[in-house]
Amino acid sequence: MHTTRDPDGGTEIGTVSEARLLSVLDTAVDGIIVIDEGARILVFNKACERMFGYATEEVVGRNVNMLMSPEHADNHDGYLGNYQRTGHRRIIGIGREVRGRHRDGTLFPIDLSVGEARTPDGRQFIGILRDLTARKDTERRLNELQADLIRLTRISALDEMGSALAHELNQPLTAIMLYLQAVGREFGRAKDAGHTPEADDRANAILEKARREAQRAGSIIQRIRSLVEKRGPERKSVDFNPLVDDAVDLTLMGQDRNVRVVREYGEDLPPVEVDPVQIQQVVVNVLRNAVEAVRGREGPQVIVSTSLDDRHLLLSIEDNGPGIPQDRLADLFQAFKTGKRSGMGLGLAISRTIAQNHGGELLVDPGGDGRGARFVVRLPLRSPEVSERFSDGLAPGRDRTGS
Amino acid sequence: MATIHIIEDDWGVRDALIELVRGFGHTVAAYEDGEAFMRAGTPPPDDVIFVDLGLPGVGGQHVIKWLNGLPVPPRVVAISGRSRGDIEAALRDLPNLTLLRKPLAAEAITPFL
Ligand SMILES: Nc1ncnc2c1ncn2[C@@H]1O[C@H](COP(=O)(O)OP(=O)(O)OP(=O)(O)O)[C@@H](O)[C@H]1O
Ligand SMILES: [Mg+2]
Repeated sequence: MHTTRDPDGGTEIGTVSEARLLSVLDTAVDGIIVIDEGARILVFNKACERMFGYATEEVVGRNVNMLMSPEHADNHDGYLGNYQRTGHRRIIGIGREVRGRHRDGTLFPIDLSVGEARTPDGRQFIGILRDLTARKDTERRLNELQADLIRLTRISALDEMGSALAHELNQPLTAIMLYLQAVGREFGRAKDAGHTPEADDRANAILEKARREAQRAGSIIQRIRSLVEKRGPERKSVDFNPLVDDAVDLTLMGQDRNVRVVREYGEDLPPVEVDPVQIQQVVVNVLRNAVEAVRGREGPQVIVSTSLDDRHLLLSIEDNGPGIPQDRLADLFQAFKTGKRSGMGLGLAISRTIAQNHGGELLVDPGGDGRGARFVVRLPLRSPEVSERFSDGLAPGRDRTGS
Repeated sequence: MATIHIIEDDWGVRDALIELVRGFGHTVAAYEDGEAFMRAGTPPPDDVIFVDLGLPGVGGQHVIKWLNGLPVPPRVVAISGRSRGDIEAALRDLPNLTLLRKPLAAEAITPFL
């Protein structure tokens, strides 16, 4: 009989409460992992078993980097050592999105937050893990839907532009027919009066112009096609002004010629990294609204201008229409809210989404009281991915695998 | 000799009309818009005027009304690439107008030259 405290008694008691603790941990929905200073796994709960496909016995005592994506696995011991020496935190107390490695080798996204505990046995680190796979799937599905929606509004815009397009193609076709007829006359004359080098040159010059008009017709079709065809998002470094100008031309095809469109493009704008077709889509949507707003009004005018502030490229489209009434303002950017008989109410909703996907914004100054509306598209000079990549050498959520 | 006037804002169509009309040996005067044409003064009665309806600024139909208001109006041929509905709306109060629709048939122009 010992009245003194058995030195092993502590352990005994510890084991009992540890067992209780573990059974509690096993009821947790989130994955819980505890490691020691040497990155050895001490606790691996049931949720983790489901998440990673390992049984607890298979992992306890092993280095936690077996559960990490290769890039992290290699560096993890280094981080841990570095933290213990310098106290510099990479993740502790912060939490971030990282990738886990399933038993079958597949990598999957997890939201990881890490806390630290000082125990008699030394420091321990407790990780809480949430599997983001399902959320990621939803996100991807949403992106796909959004892409479809963007394409749909393009098609709706084109539908409305249908007769305008016919008109636009009419011009080069008309020119071609007239040129060909003119050349035909030159040939007729040559047959009667004999060939002269001058007559041949004249005919050739006309044929060259006819060719140019045919190219013009082709490029109209090409531009339309690039708007309609289904395609994934892309980022390219492009010059802003020509991009805007092109979209303005496209929108004005066959529109009411009485609307004066003033283009005030800022000089020396730096290139911007965007999805060019999407940004053109924004220009088309906002400009179409502006042109529709001034239609039938006195001295209808729209000013399209581009400029630069210290961190953004700005595109402003201002009209001298009636402006937007206060009570329309609240749901202006909501999908399927339209003040028009034939509108789908998608133009602004899509445009704002596109601007935001680029890390930018679509803003409105509603005007009114004699002033028209003004919409401003603001795009960051550096795209969000780029700045993120440079501001943090380690961007766990964006690791590439297999490259 | 009579002059053929062409009022057309599209560069390609305008240039092609100039080539064709010149090929027939006529004198051509071409204008980008209605204002430029009217600034150039009143055309003599035996001139022929080809005018596009969808002009920027003063529309083609206004130019036609202006010409019809002359003591002896010259011959006018309207050209348009618009849909029938748009054209009818533009020409509601201009009956008996000769109208050619784009794309122009190759032989459409020559009878007027
Ligand atoms: N420049 C503007 N001036 C006045 N009202 C505007 C202007 N731009 C948009 N609006 C109002 O906002 C509404 C929503 O615009 P939005 O572009 O989202 O849809 P829509 O133009 O009705 O349809 P669509 O999907 O064909 O673009 C418009 O119906 C109109 O009432
Ligand atoms: Mg719209």
